[in-house]
Amino acid sequence: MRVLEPWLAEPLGELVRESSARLALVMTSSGQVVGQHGFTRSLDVMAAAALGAGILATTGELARLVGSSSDFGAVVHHGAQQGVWLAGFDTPRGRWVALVVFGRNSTVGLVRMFFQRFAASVREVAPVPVPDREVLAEGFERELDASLRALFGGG
Amino acid sequence: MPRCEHSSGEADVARIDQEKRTIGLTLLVVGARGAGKTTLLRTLRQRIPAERLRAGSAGESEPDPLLDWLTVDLGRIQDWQVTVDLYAIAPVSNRDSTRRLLFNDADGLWLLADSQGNRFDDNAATFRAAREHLVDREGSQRDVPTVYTWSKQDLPGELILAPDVLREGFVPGGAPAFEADLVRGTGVLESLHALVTLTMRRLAPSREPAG
Repeated sequence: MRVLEPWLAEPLGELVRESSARLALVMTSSGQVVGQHGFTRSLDVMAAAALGAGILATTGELARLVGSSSDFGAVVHHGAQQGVWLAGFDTPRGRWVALVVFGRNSTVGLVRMFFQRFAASVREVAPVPVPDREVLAEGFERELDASLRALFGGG
Repeated sequence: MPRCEHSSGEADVARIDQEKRTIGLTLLVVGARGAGKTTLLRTLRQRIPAERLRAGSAGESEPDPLLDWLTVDLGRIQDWQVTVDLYAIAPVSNRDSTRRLLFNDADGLWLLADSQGNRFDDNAATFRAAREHLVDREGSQRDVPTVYTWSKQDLPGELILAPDVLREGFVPGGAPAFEADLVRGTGVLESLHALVTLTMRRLAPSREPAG
């Protein structure tokens, strides 16, 4: 498992473990990967993220076209050997997407249940982004300039 | 790498760790072969106090011909620990994946032009390629703070182009440009100072004016 931010490891680990997922991918709605389990090649991760985000965006637009008051929630492909669960969820960092690939030892219902728990956990533990002016408070540039001058011998 | 998304919705890639109160900037030094990238990093190693150099490639004794790098600790600014990773990338390299990652994650560009008149086309091709590589992970073109440095301005005048000619040839808009003698260090720290300032400014476009 690889995660971009440490706080995501526990919720994603629980989702994978409890739903018996083979593969799992968490990404932003634009396809930026934030965590994955089970992929071994970075190319596969990027391709799956792009495709997953694209599929969800497409179905969301389709929902809008047919007059649905909300998107379709989740997209599920169920094959003979494995299935794919793809769904969006809101987080303090914006809307994210989860893609879960599961085998015959799991079910859509199980994945849905643990996906919902995963989404709730992420909402709970994700650090709320700090507004920019808190990141770099007033006077930061002045201090940066002074620090650079001191470091570079400019007075 | 955590991304910082500021209020305009434009994603920056500076590593900002809210809990540890650290900011890490990734700056790329780009220049044609022989423009002086390795010399520039060597000069920085010599001019910056050793206790502020956190890591880097072998430097003077064994420079990496493909990717030379250096990490500078800018110290604690307000309550943030700020570090700068500088990567000098060879224009031709078999490390395309490394190059792609660096351009994906770059917070600022330091474009180094060889001032010699006969290198004008090489400089132009290198800068054009750098802009083409400067895309985000979704493939969209990125606009990052850029500073230009004209190296080898210490060479005899008949061999080099004047700074205003280089500016006219390479600098779109009002990006800062500095004349440099990389060996003696003239213009090097000034360029880095400007690039760090511009890059940090980009991280906080909505910051209230100081003072």
